[in-house]
Amino acid sequence: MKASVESKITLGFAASVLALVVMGGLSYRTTRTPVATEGWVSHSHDVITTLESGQALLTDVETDQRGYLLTGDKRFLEDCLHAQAQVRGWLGQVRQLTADNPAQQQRLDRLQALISRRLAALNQRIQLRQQRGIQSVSGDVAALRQGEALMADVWQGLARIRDAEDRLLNARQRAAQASARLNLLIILAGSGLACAVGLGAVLAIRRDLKLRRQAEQALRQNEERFRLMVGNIKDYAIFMLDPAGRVISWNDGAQRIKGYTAAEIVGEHFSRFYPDEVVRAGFPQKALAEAEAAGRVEDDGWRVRKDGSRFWANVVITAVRDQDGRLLGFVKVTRDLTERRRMEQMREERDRFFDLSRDLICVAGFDGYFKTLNPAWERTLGFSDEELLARPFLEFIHPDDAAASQAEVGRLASGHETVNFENRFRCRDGAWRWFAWNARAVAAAQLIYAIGRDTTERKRNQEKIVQLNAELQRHARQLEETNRELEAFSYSVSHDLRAPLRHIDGFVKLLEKQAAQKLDNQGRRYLGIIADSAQRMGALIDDLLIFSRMGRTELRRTRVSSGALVHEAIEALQSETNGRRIRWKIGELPEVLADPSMLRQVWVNLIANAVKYTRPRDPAEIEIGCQDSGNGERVFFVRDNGVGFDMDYAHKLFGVFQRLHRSDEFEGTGIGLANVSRILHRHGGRAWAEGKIDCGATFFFSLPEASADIGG
Amino acid sequence: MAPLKRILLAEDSEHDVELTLAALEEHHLANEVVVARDGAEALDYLYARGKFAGHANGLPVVVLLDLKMPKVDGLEVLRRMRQDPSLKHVPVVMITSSREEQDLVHSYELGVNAYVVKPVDFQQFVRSVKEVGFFWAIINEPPPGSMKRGD
Repeated sequence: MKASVESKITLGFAASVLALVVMGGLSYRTTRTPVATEGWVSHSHDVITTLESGQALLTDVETDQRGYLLTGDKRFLEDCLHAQAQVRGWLGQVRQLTADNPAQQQRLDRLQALISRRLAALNQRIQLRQQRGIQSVSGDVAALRQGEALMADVWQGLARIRDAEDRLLNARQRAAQASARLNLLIILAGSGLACAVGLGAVLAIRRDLKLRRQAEQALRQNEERFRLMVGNIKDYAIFMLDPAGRVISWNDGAQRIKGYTAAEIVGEHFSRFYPDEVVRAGFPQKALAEAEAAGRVEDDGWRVRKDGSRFWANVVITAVRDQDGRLLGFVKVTRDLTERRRMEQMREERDRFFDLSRDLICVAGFDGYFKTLNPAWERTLGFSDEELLARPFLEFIHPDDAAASQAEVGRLASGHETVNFENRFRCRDGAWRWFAWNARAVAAAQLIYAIGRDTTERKRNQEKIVQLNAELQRHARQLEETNRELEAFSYSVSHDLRAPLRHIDGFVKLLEKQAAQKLDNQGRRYLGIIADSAQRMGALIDDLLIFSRMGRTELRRTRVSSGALVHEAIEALQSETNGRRIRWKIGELPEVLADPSMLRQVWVNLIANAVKYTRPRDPAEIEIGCQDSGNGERVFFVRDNGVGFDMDYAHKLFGVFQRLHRSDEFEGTGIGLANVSRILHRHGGRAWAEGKIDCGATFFFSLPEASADIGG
Repeated sequence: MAPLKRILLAEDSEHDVELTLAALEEHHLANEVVVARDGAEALDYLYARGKFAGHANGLPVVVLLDLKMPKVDGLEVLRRMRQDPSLKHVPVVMITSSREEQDLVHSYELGVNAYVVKPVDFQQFVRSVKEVGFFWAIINEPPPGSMKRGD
């Protein structure tokens, strides 16, 4: 359009100029013609004037000749001769003037001849006068007549030339008038044409310009609409980059998505929208290069907002070029797909969940058919989806469970939830597997959404557990029975067995008192042995009772100061330590959580042992302490420098009635350490010992730390 | 008719009775002891019935009860005494072979006044019984209605 107007302007002007040039040329030509014509007109006037002057000269010649002839005055003669010379000059002048006109020249030739004859005749008469005087000429009338006729011819010749010249002048004057008229016509016509062309061009250009203005206005309106539309788009960031990648426009969507206002971002390089690592990899620049090469580039990836947060974007960069293909910049359209991506990922995850689930997931209709099954079905049952979908699901359910299953579907349909409903499904290989179902129904959709867990193994295990439980209960009952028997036994031991012993001892003592004199030494010794034995058996029974009680009585755990217990124990052993040199070395002893009376028994036993087995040492050394084992246990120890023991028999130390020494070496019942071991077991600890014959022994026991809460 | 005594010893074992009496003899208390050979006899004595019917009114200053006896055991005797307003203030001492905790707990629950375990060792046994007899029969002031010393 633009070009068209420009060409129209050029064309219009060219036409006008051409019209003017043509008109100028024409008018020049027509102007030149009248100028020549005027020249010829004035030439004709010159010729006529000259002709007229010739007439006068010829008259002068005639007159002067006559004068002379009449008077003989010399002056007339001189004048006549002079006039004759002038006539000859005049003739030359006329010849020159009419040189362009051959017809006139011919006429002039004839005239000149006539004039020459006249002049010759004339001069002859003058000669006569001179020679013969006045009479010689005065009477010659013939000659006079002759002269007059000749003169008439001259006048006639002259008149002819003049007439011709007059005609010429007339013609020339007409021609000049015609040329002037033509010239005017040409000028008028040319101007009119030029005006018309110019006007036409102006009108055409005006019309084009108006159209163009309208088009431009429409374009501007369009552009404004477009700008507003782009500017107000909120869901897309639409902005332009210059060829170097700097932002040159910005819309609301860009501000919403990226967080920058136009003022903040215009002029900045667009790489700031990309995460650092992507920028380091040169991605933004590559994208521009690709867009420039291919026209368009699209990618999905992480972008960075002003506040540094990231969003998942779909980005299209389009190169923008002008009509000549020069790169103006790029349009970048960015969509925030974070939410969509999240949804996609969520859907993907759900799908994956559905696919990976070991549990059977299904959607089933109230019509009794499965609608959707997850892959676990095929994996578990062996039937393909097609097989399972083709038949009512009840056909896959164990006949014994079918009624209950149908009832459950009915319950679901009436709005109840299914929780842990169990039934059996048939496998392709004919086996039955148990499933526990949780399900809900959507009545409006007539669909049931269910998840079933394969409980076949659990069922099997449950059966086993039930069996084992029954067995355990039987065992427990047996144990209870045994315990009751043991209790009855220990009760009778404590009561019934001690009585006879007391009687033996008592009556031995009474016997000693009453019959000592009657007995010899041997007899008295026997009585002593009987009494000792009875007492020893009493001690055994007492220890055994304690041991049995340790196993039966309830633990009453409290925080107990080990240090206090140790001191009490040492105090209680005073009768044993009296008169002995014992070097006590007692370390720091922490609080523990234990039954105080039982733990006291432990300390008494261990310390009493140390005291007993160091009897041969002077001084005896007994070290009591605690070491942290580091695994939530306290390890206590009682170390002595006593007689020690053989590690080969260490395992026997804590057994009931197990002894490593004879009674006559070191008294004892063999119950004490068994008690220690039993008490510690009940506390969740244990006891052990290290020793070497004659090199002392160390007895250890461990207890959970006081903070640990142990069920008793 | 049985004589009135200030100490009632309920004990089924005749050896124990003999040894107990031997021990009490050291404080010359043996003569003040009446022996019941089981719980039923002990109650008969306390209620002056059966073989003890007709003895004059008056309660022993202390009852020494063995725990384990035929017919009615020591705990039962104690229980009945404590239920009877006329007997509930009579001091009762358990003298028994049992160290069982449950026996101890039961006895104290029923309101025993003392609990003495008979040691196997005769010397100790003598010492224990002697002291029990000495305390309850001589030192302790019995509740009203008991037979006073030298009555």
